[in-house]
Amino acid sequence: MTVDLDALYAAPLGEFVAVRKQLAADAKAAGDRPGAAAIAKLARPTPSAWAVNQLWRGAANLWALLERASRAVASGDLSAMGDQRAALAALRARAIELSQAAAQPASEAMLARLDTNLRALAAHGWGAVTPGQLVEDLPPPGFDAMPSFTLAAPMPPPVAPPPPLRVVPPVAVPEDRADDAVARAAAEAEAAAAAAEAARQAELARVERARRATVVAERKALAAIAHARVVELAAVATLARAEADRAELAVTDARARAEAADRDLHVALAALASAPP
Amino acid sequence: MLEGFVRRGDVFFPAGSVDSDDAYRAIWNQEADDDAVYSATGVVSQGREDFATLTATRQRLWTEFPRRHLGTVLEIGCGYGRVPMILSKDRGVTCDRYVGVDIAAAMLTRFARYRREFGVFADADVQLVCASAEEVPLAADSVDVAISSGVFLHMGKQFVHRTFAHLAKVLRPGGSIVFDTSFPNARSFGMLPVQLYGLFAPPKPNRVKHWSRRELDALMRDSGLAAKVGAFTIEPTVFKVLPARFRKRELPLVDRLNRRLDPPPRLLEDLVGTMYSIHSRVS
Repeated sequence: MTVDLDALYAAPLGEFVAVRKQLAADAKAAGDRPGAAAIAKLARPTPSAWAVNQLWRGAANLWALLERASRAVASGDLSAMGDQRAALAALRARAIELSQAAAQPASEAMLARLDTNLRALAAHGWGAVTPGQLVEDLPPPGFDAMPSFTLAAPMPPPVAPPPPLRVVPPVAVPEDRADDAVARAAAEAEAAAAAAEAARQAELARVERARRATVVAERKALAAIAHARVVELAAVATLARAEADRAELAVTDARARAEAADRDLHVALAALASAPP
Repeated sequence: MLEGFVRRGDVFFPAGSVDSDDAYRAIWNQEADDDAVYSATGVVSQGREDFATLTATRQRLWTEFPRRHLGTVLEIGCGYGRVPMILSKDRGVTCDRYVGVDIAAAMLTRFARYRREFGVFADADVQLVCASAEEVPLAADSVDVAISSGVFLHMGKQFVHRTFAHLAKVLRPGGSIVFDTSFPNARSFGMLPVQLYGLFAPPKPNRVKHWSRRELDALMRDSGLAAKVGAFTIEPTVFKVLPARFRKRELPLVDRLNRRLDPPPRLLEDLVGTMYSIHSRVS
């Protein structure tokens, strides 16, 4: 049996699980048990991947603009980057509309991932992924020379379920609830990772501020020391000048006294010469 | 070999004396010693020297640079080699000869070390030159591609004019230029606080200079570079309604507002774009 998965990826994200269930049931009813199992294992797209899929279906003209501009950039015509940017902006605006129409919140984080997905698809194309059926977010373009780069994870082959880890029979959880729980856990993990990253960045910034403050304080201290040294040298110079002045005064005084003594000596000698024998 | 230059270690220096007291040169040497990555990307490296940290900032012109084999590449203000790392290792760009020019020897020494470590332009003849761009004795019409990222904004306008005139001489006819986020937009709303601050702040040799689209167009034509490259694009980029930070302090809600307008509608690009890039076709 051939299953048209387009309906699955075109559906609102909130209905993905229900549509998947229905398609799997249809396949099973038609006798295609392996097909049904494969459909049941199809992963639910991330919100940003879902938005990409909706754009692929609902904004073909904008998509064509993006592809044309991206081809031009890749061929060396960097002037097409403006067209590429305009197409990305238009696609982003359309994604917000589509998300709102599907009661799907378009958060800033989701829109940032959408931008990355669109730029990656514009740069590399869909690769192994069937167009309009993106499930996971793509790495940003610019890493294509990296040996480990893969465009997107292909659909994983069916695998045997792992052996149970406990003897107590697990409580049966409806599939959609389990799926929601997985999504919630993923969202929580993502939020935790984002918070951790924000905390790390804040800590890095704090450390950097402290380091720069230390450098500034150190420079100020060095400047103060240098200034004190200058003041000290100036004081020493002043003292030395005063000492020199005092010495000069002493010399002048001594010279004056010597001259006075010389004058007295001459007077005495003259008096002695004129004195009667 | 570069005439009039001598090689010391991995770096070419002018054969005469270098003015090590030059304030502009001293700033970049100091930044290389403090945190070269922060200087180039605004990301605090905390001493990390892995590839991801060194290339933490990746502008679209580099991440989407056409994968090519280029002839001779001249980079103005190459720093520790962030752009060549992205081009060579991420984009798979190769070249015959790469001449990286920077005024700070400390940056070039790092570049040489990172080049060995990461194999940047491994098969090319790489020459790292500690000088101003117009001092590098390259033959007329010998450069195929001239690149620069976030460098001209710090240079005095007369130096930029001189550098462009030199580039017009050494670039081959039909050669390519890619000057990414190089010219702060003098008409940008988001740049107004920075411009106002610049009017009253104490003078600093590397304080950014602002350019209008008209000035850049005149720069390209008067220098002769427009005639060499043919068609070129002055592209507004880095869209911000207001700076998200002012003197390293986060401004509340501004980041969110900026993201809403990135990218902006075409009509607003020249008002919201805080930087201009200039580029021509990479052939």
